[in-house]
Amino acid sequence: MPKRFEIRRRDLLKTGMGALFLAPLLRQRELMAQYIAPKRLILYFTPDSVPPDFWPEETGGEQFQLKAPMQTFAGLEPHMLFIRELNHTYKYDNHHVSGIGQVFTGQRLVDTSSGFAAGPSIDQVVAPVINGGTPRRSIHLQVDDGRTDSRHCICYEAANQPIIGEIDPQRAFNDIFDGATFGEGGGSVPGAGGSTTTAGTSSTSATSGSPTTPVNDDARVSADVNRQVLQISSDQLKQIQGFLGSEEREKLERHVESLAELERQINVGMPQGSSTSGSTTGTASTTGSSTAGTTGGSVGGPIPDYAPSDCRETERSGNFDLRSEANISGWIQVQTDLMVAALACDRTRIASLQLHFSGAHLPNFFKSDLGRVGDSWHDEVAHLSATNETSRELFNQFLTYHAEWVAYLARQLDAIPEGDGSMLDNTLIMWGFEVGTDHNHDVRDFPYLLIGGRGFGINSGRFLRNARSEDAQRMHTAVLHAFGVDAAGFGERPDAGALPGVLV
Amino acid sequence: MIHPDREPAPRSRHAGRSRALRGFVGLLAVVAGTGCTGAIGADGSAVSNGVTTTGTPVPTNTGDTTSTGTGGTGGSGTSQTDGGGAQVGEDGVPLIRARAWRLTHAEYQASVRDLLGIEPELDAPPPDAQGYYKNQSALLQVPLATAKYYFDAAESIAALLSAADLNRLSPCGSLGACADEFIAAIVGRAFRRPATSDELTSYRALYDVAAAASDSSYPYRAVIQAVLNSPHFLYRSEVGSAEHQTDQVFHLTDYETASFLAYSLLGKPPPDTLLEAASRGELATTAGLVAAVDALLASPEAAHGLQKFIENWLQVPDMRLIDKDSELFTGYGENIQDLMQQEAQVFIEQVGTLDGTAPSLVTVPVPSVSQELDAFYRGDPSGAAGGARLGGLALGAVLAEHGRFNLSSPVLRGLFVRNRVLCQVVESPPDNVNTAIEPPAAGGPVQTTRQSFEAHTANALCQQCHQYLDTLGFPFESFDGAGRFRSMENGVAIDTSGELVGTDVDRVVANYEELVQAVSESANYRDCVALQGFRYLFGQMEPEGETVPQAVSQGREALASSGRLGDLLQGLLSADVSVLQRQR
Repeated sequence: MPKRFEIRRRDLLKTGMGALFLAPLLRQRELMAQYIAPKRLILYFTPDSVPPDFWPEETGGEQFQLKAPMQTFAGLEPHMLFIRELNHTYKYDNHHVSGIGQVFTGQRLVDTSSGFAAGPSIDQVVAPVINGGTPRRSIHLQVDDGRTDSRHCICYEAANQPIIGEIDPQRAFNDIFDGATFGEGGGSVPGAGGSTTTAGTSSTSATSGSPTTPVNDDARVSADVNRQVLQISSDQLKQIQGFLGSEEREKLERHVESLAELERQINVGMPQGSSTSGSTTGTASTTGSSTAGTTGGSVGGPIPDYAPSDCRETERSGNFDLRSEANISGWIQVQTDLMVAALACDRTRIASLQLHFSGAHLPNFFKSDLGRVGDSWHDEVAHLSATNETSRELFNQFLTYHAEWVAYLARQLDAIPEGDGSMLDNTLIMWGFEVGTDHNHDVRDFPYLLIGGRGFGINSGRFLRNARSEDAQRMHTAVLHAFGVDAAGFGERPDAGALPGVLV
Repeated sequence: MIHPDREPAPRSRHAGRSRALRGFVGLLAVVAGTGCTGAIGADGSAVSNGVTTTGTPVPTNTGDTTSTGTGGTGGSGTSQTDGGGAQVGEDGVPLIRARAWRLTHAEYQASVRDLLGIEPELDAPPPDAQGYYKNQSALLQVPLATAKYYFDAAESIAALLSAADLNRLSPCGSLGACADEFIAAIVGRAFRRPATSDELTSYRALYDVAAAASDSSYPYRAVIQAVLNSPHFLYRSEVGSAEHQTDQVFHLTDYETASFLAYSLLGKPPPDTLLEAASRGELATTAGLVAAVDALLASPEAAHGLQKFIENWLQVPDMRLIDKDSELFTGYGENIQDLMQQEAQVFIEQVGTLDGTAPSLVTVPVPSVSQELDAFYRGDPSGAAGGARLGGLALGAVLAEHGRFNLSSPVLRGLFVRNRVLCQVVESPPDNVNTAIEPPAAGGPVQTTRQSFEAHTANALCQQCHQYLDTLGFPFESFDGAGRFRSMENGVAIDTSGELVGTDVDRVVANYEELVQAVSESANYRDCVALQGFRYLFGQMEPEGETVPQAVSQGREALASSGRLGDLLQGLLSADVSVLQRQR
């Protein structure tokens, strides 16, 4: 479980990106009197799927009753929105590759040899709008075997551009927190319901070892150099673009945008009063592009007076391998806690957690009595018929196991007060799988579960069964609207329209 | 691990010609689609060696219509039309266009080593977009994760340099005495051409900012950090010179040509001798270009570059990513995977020499590299006698890559031969067609893999494409999904007969040996090797149309005459690459 730290100092210049502090005071955002909650999105992937009768029981009038294996969500029902009769619109072969590529992108594959999706994932579309000037545009974590082919990718910056999640919690921590100092006390006391509305103060201010201690001169010089390095490279790219045709220019424009985002991250992190000899690039396009970085921390608008209420450093030790269920569990917990901390400390508003990969093999996971324990849990279990009792029992165990971890995440967020409710009210978890009803690798009736987001209009506490099959992109479109993205559709259904019932 | 039903389906390029929808056919729950589009010549006779856009049969031999321009003089910028050297296809579509070609990760590592004389341990980079070849310039981009990777790496590398390293890099032998000269030397070396005065000014300004740090070596590190982030380091430009920026047709600068030659053949920055030739303007003439290529071919690394091409052409995978059912293919695991990788390496080193030939690539016996691997290959009882393993198509790694978790795959192997070995295009299946195959079972109605696929493709709609695939793949059935020998499957004798159709060597073949023998005699195959060489060395697919770039035609001529792979490289690299058009 995450520990609270009393006083902690960290090497401020570890990577030379500058010293970063968690107190929002030092992030160059104006504090205003009125509290406005951020919006957050978490994409959560677990492999395979479930027989449809494992989902909650519908009890009429969009109400539902949990049953095994979803019993673990008991108490969280008001936050849950189950949606049935959503289809993937594109299938290739057995759908393990086209499914994982599609679950959060709504896209087909660029081509069948590479297996990468032909467009950005929904988190990258939403990120520029809800980023709020946080230091990281998005964070991506995995519990997986380290491979990076298309069966291991759920998020895409753009077509054919996968974002690989970080499997090493320590590396993820280093990147997310990048030399940050945790203040004394770590934030408000849980359960006190304290909000952080007082202008000019921050709940993470340390009473000693003050986070307002200015960085030393070398750190400032380093940050100036870093900014200037990015600026020079950006200018050179633009010069090269002048020689190129439109396709090549566009290719280089992605690089320009990437540099702009890196520069933004440097600027977000710098203490007030530092020299600003490097200018923030204001030329990167941030409109009309799902992959645009932000400049100057102001795209999407800073969230005034928002301060994390429970920012803690989390444990990062453990045996991070797939050799045993115990190791896998420990790993999932560490990554989940880290993700919650990243959100609670407002390092980002977008996260993804990917458990295993499509058609996950997980050798020896839930050893079965099927007579053969081989290289692949999935192959031994999923390819039996849907009525095979042993197979169904194993699926029950599989879903129970993963549901417990999704519920754990939801509960961690729900335990952190925010505004009049909790962080879970302002965070939407989208839980998806790569096949529909499995066994037959069907692309129809994909179970999507939306948890959270009551604070910004998600119609939680319901079981939504569409009268007829709908393209999953309609659900994605409704979610885009919830985050303030004015989209007519999503993925390979650009005119799909929003699915009714997802928003209040 | 690979899912048992998953086929690592190879790329099919769009051929651009459709046949009419014929309606639903319900053999295997095929959803109505547009129908297979056979991109092979309509009557199955002559076929294209590149991309068929019109669907009409085109000559297959090296008498393709190409312009025969001579090497232009560098920097003249004169507009050139057909017959005068401009590489244009139909409708004036440029054959080669201006671009910025990002370094691959291997090239990046080699460039860091060449620039700084150190070999830092770098983290694995983020994955690149995928395509026909991994090094294609359109795919190599810099999204956020990659930009961050370069940024962090540059910072780390700059910090890693010792005082001795920095002194070594300084023209005056030590820091502090000649900052401007240091900057000019580093920038020039990193950019593979002399620095411009604007560049020197901006890096000097950076140096001055960095000079405020307490560490006196920091400004030098800052300059190094900056050049490692520069697009002039990270990309090879092929844009010509500033004074011809608005010309429709232009030439690569000599320095750009030097980078092109060195990276394409050697995978690293141009050596000093080549840069000196560039500075003297020698690469702007055909004679100078040929001489420069000869010099590069004489270097010991040239064969290595050729071998890299062969490895990529054959799609030799990273064997650690290839999962197989170890119960079915007894003994398959890390050891065997490593040995297969080694086998591929040894074979390619053997055939990938400048004196090697295209036919040898598909017919030379694969050498035995280990008894353990040999025993694995004979692990199927019906394959215990072993057999001949001829050519690159019979490498364990290649067979495993083009197979499934617990099955072989005539379609994957046939598609591999069609697309990679004969350069012919077959469309992907229509959307939502169920292409999953179940392994055949003893006693069931379908007992061999061949029978499974015959059932699939008896459907007339599917046969439009599969007639070109399956008959090429069936001879491979003497190798199972992990590349082991076999003669029986589920107690039934395997039928390895097949047929070459749509080629210049059409014939029925009884087995794999006859298949590769026929391929080795094919001019289609030979021309394909040259085309693949172009695609790989130039990092792009040839433009659509019937005119192939001069590099391709020169390469084909070389293979048709001397047959030497070294002459293929000379033909490809010394073509008039300097005549380009800008695509707006």
